[in-house]
Amino acid sequence: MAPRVSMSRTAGPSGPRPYEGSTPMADDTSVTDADEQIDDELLVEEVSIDGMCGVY
Amino acid sequence: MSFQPARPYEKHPKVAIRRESFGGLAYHYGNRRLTFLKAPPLVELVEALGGFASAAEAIDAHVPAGRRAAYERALAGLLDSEVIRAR
Amino acid sequence: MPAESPAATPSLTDRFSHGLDAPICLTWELTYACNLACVHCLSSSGRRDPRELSPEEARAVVDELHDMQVFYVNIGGGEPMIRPDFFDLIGYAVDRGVGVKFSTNGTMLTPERARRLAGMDYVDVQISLDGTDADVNDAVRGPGSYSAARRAMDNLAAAEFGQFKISVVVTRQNVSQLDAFRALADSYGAQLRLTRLRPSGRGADTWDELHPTQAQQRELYRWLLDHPDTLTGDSFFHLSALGESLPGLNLCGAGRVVCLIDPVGDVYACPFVLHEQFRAGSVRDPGGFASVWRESELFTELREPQSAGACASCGSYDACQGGCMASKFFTGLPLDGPDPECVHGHGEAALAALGERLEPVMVPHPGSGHSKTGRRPTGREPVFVTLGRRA
Repeated sequence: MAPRVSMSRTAGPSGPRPYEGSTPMADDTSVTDADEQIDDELLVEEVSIDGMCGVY
Repeated sequence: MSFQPARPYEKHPKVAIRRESFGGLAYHYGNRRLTFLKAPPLVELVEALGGFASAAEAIDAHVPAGRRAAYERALAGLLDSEVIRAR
Repeated sequence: MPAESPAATPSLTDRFSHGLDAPICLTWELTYACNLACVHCLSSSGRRDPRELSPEEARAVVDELHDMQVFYVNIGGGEPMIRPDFFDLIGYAVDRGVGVKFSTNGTMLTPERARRLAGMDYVDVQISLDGTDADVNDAVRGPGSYSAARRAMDNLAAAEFGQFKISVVVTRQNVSQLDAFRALADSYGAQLRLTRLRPSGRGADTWDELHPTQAQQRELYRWLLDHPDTLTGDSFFHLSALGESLPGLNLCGAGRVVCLIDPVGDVYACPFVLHEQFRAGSVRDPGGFASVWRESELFTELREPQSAGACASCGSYDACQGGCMASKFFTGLPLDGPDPECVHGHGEAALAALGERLEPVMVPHPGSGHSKTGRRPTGREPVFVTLGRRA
C-alpha cells in the first residue's frame, strides 16, 4: 500500500521552484573496486517528474 | 546546514518511496522531484533512518562494508533535495 | 565531475531493461470531446466517444494507479474539463495519493473553477498556448483560443492558485516567440513548458508546414540551454545529438516509464502513437491496467534493447537514441533508422529516398479519429495512405 503522504502544491514565485533537470549527486571519484557490487557510478540520480518523454 | 553523519535524520514526510529491482524511486510530492535510489541498501537506509540516533549508526546497520563514504555522500545529496531531513 | 552528461546515463536505461513494475507517471486522456479543433491535435479530438470510461471505471483506474504507486498522472483529452465528473475524479486521485496535472485549453476555467482548483491540494494546471499573440496562436488553435487561454491564466492568478504551467508546442511559426513566451510566463510567475510537435493525430496532415526547420531546431536547442529552467517533458532528446544533453532522461519513455490511457480505456505506448500498432491492451481487459503494463506483448517488446539499425554507424546514436518512434512511424520512416528531424539531416535524406521510390510507400496515418470533420469514415481504426513521388 502506498504510504499516505501529505501533499501540497508548489507556492507561487516566492515558493520553492520545482527542480528541472538531472543532477549528479554523491559523486564518487575514488578508484573502482572490482569486487564492489556498485562501482563508482552514482548512487542517486535526480530527474524532474516532467523529464520523461511520452507525456503531455 | 550540511549533512553531518553524527546527527539524526529521517525520510521527509512528503516523500514516497517505491521499491524497484535496482533500488527504488523516491518522489517528493511537495517539490515534484523524483530521485532514483540506485541500490537496495540505500532504500533500506533511507527508510530506516528515522529509527537511529544518528545517520552514522544507520549506515553501520545497513550499508555494505567499505561503502560508508559513498553512502554518506548519497545522504548528503538526499538532504539537499529534501528526500531526507534533519530531525 | 562525471565525464559524460548526467542525463544520458546508460545505466539508468539498463535498469529499465527488465521493466518497471509500474509507470513512473503516465498520460490519461479523459475524453475525446473537445470544444476546440487545433490543427495539430495529437489525439484528433472533437467528438466524445460513446464508449468512454464511466465515472466508476475511471475511479477504478485511479485505484489501480494507487495500488501500483504511480506518483503522478497527467490528465488531458480532448478537453478534460468537459467531463461532468472532472472535479470529482481529480479530487479522488489526489485523495488516493496520486498527484494530478491536467492540461486544458482554458475555455472552461472560469473564476469559480479557478477558485475551486486553488483550494485543492496537489493539482497542477497546464494551459496550452501556441503563440504569444492571437495571430500566431489562433492560426493553430482556432479563433478566440488565445484570449480564452489568457482569461484562464488571469482567473488562476486572481484566485491565487499559485504556480501554473504554460505549455507550448514549438512550431515554425512560434520559434521566433520564445523570449516572448518566457516573458509571458514570468509575468504570471508561471512555468514555461516547450514541447515537440509530432506528426501525430491531426498533426500528420499539418506537420510538413508546422514543424520547425533545421536552423530553428538549432536555435531552439541553444535557447533551451540558455534557459535550463524551461520544462520540456524530455521531448527534445533528439536534439542531444547537437552536443550537451538537455535535462531529462533523454530516452523514449513509451512503454518503459510512461504510457497513455485513452478515453475508452485503451492503453497505448504514448500519446503520440494512437495507432493500432502501438496499442498494448485495455484497462477493461481482465487484469486491468496493471496486467497490460506488466505483461503486454507490445510493452515487453519495447523494453528489449532497441536496434540502432541504420543509425549504428552514426557517432551521435548514444546521445539521441535514434529519436522519436512516433515521428518516424507517422512519416513512414523505419523505426530502426533516423528521426525525420535528425539534426544531421539523415532523416531528411531518408524521407527524400522514400519519396523517390517507384512503388508507392504505405505510410501509417492516424485516420480522422474523433475529429468533428473529416474526409474518412469515422471510427477508431487507423488507415494507411500511399506516398508516391514527392513533388
